[in-house]
Amino acid sequence: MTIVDSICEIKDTGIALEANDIDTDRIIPARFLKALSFTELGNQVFYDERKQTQSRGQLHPFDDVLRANAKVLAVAKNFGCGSSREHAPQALRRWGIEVVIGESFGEIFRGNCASIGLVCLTVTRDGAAALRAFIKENPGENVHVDLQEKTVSFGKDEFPFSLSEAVRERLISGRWNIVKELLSNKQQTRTLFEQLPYISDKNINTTDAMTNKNEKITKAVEIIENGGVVILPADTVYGIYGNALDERSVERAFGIKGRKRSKPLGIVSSRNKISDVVELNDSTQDVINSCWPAPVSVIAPKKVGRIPEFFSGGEDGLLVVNAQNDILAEIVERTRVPIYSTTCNLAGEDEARTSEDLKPFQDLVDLVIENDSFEFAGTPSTIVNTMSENPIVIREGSYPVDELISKVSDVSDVSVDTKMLIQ
Amino acid sequence: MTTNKTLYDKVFEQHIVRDLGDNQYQLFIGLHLIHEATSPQAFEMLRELNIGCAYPQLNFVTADHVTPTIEQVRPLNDQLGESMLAQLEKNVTEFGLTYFSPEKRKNGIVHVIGPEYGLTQPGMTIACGDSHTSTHGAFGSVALGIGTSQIRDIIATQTMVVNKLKVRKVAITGELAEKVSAKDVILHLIEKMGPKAGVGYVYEFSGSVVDAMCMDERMTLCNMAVEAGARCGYVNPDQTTFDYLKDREYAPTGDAWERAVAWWALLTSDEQAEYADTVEIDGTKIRPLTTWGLNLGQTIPIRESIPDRDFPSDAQELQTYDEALDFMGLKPAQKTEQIKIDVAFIGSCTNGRFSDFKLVANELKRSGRKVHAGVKALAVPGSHLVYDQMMESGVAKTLTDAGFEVRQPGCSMCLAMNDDKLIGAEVCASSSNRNFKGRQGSPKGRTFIMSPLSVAASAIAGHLADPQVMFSEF
Repeated sequence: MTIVDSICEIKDTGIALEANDIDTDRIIPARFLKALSFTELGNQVFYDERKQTQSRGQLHPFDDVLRANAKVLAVAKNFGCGSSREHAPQALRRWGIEVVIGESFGEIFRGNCASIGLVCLTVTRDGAAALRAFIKENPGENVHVDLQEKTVSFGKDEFPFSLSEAVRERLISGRWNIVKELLSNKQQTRTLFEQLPYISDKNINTTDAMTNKNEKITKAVEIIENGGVVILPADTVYGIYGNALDERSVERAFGIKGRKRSKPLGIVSSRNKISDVVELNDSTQDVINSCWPAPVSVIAPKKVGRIPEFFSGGEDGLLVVNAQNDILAEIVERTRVPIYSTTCNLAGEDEARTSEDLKPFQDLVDLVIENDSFEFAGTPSTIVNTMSENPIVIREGSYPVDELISKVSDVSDVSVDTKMLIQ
Repeated sequence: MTTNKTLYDKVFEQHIVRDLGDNQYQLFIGLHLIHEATSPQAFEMLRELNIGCAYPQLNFVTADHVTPTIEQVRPLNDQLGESMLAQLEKNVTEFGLTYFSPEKRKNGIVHVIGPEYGLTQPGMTIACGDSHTSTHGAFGSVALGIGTSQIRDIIATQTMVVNKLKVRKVAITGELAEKVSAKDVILHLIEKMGPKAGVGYVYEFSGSVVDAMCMDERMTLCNMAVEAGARCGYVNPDQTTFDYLKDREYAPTGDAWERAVAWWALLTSDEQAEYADTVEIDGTKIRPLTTWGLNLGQTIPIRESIPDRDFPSDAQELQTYDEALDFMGLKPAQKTEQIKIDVAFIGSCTNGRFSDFKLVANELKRSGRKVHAGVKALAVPGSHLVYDQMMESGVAKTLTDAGFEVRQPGCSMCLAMNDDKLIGAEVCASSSNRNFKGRQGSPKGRTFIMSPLSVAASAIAGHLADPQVMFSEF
């Protein structure tokens, strides 16, 4: 087999194969792929089919002595479907075929042909059929492929072919041997390599990640303000959040949790926003000013006229938790309505902490922002009742009581008021 | 920063070294996987050109096609296979490449071990001289099967020439029925649309069925995207992907892990991403399937019969039907339970992972059934890691007790470049990926492609059998 660099035309006799969907395992049976070099492949092309045809006493076109020097192969539809192995085009090439002409080809096969300089041309169904008929009837006649004129001529017929312009140009110029072309771009390759994020994580633009986070936060704010329900990471578990002033949203939250209306939801807030939802008596002010931001939740007098009856359900006290992580804190700052807060769990079940846990809730809410940046704390917040003059610690949580006592005046001992434990 | 790009667009664009015109690009390949069957000639060509490996740290090698599944001892009985392994060893030494060798017990099917080692990651372009490279797309990568000349190109330059393709969104909604798995989903897709429908496309698999799949199942799906005609297939990365990769040998750690996850999350197709078209499949309607002919489009639910001859068709379609029927030894409208099998094979890059074997073992244990007398049943793990997991968990024992031979890892009977071959006109129920003539090593051998559970059901019955019936909860 001689390799000529520049391929402009092929003029020679042909072989025709009628069947559609001739796959690469037929062109070169798998057991021949073990060869370490391509040299023997030419003899093994269509091996099994040729043997089987022989045993039926018939003549396979590739065994036809009249066609032993054919360079043109005419096929039908989907020729070369199947494997990505280059052995199939290589086997044909090494047998002596220099051009394959058909109605359609397996895509990987066609790509492999281009890389080894085996010309692979697509013609119309009629053209392919006419070519095959001509070749069958005229074993000694030439078929003329002209890559510059872009035609296939045989007998009195001439058909145009389609071929990728880039491939055609490379065949004609001899640059179909692609390594040289690729090697000429060494510097650009290295530059790109050095910028890939998985090559050096320093290439990862965390501002992209931040922008993504920002977009999610903006979306969450919009959804909450418009009466939707979202799931966000709180400090120890995931929580369900929405507009506390929107009755439908509140009902949805109750519905998700299968929760009794008599157990009110909490509110998530911040130093800047808390005056919007509670009456800031001295107790509450004391705790907030001394501690927040902190995992210290307060039970404070609700702001009448601001917090609707359907939300507080007859209670005067409102449980307000402080947003601990940056997602929640950001959302609280940007949302223009009070946000209710409750743990993400189904009635009587454990709260959600992982992606897996969140699955049953995905279809029940309008947005879920997952936690990918901090570890959930093991212990929930400390709860302080600030309804009266002296703050009373209801539940000791992650914020130590002694620290609370040292910072806030007149804090009473821990007393457990279960009715108010609505987390 | 809102764009309307698919994951394919984002990954492709990030790897363009040069625009070569006519929709062709010189594309950087982030991970190149090499095995013994398609690489020898590539290394030979490089020697002739006197070119070495440009980026050895991005090329990884293993042996899988020729490795025997009984006793991986050198020298192999098969002389040609032995020379391929010897040649591979010579090549990795000369070119300075990392080799996951049988000697070190690190080898396995290339598309099984890549992910296991954490080499396969979201956002990469990946290439390998094997059609089923698309498997790696399950991680949100662009993974392409290539030919020997391209293997040469990548070793020499870490780049290759690629066309940019269109993306088809394949949304699989609902929930899969009992005993139906990822293999049935992809067979269903190929049957519905034909094996050439995906030509010119990259497939993005999505939908509730895909979201619920573990990584092994997503790999099964992407593995056979090429059989649907697609150039490759992928699934957007999500927490399932990240959980799989965490702490794997080549996965990033510490701060680098956090940044990687943040970056991976950005790769997913934008909400406003533009697709060439969308195909929706109702996952609830999919049943256990089997191929019956010589291409993967010739597929039926196992519970139904071989198609009758009276379907609307042109001369060519009828010829294809007749040829298949004749070769496979079937009759029009034949009942599948009349189709006896000689061999049952669970393995291959399509279904050779731990969860595939575990699923089968669970059913065998529950039902107490055993492989039918006269059926040779093979369970071939895709890697030593899979094998070890099978041994530790008791899955291997359950399979052995039921009559399966649990082998050493390799491609085995999928394509018979090793000792595992069909003999004569044997009929095989197989969890591999192709049913072409001669594929499993014998020119007359007959292959029925199906899911691991369906193979197990058939192994027990001694003929094609539906796992929904065989393993119905009783």
